[in-house]
Amino acid sequence: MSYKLERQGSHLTVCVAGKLDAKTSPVLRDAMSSELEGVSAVTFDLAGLEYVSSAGLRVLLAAYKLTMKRDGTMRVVNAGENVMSILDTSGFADLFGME
Amino acid sequence: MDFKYVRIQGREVSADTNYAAGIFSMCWKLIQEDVMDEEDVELFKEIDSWFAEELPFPDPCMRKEPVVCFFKTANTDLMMRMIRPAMWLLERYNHPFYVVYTNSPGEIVYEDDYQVAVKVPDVPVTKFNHEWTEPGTGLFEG
Repeated sequence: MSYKLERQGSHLTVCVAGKLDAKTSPVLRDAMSSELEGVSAVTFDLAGLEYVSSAGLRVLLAAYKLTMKRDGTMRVVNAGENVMSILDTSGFADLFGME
Repeated sequence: MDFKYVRIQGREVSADTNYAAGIFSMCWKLIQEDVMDEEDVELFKEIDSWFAEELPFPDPCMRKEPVVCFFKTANTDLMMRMIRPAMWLLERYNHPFYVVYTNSPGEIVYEDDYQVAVKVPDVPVTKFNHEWTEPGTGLFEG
């Protein structure tokens, strides 16, 4: 898994590639934690993501909860077919709203 | 037809209420019985904590009275979207559940913007379980 975080004011863009699973999710979570101060809008760009497990879904959900608490927004964009299928089946596509 | 209330419940009966167990009870049971793997447990807890934070905890539930809760369909679009991943977790572990829509949940003893709590009926639901239609046995199925 690789990631890139881009902060612009209160907006954080998270680009994730590879596999987001039990092993790699804590790495992304920790990296995001230090960037979330003052953030109210998060965009996950999943263009390079090949697979997401429950642990990865939890990272997305935690970010969604945080932005809601701050009256902010979360966007999930560019999910590929495989990841989109997981998000659809699990109900998270409906929750997050996909672009 | 529009329904005012919805409840996601299982086949099993809750020992506390003698009524069909709700979705949170079912998930917690899978955790307590070590059926759910660690990743899914943590995901469920993330979902559960959202409800704990956002949804008032009904007084009768706090007093451990024999009540069951139904969501109000009118105000719970977000809650229903948030509960779907928990339904997915039940499906992953082949745990059967039913989404019950009704306009007559029973005697309402608690109500807030999002949910009602109703007294459990006097007749235990176990006596009626055998009458529930099994999935896949409909006229045009199977």
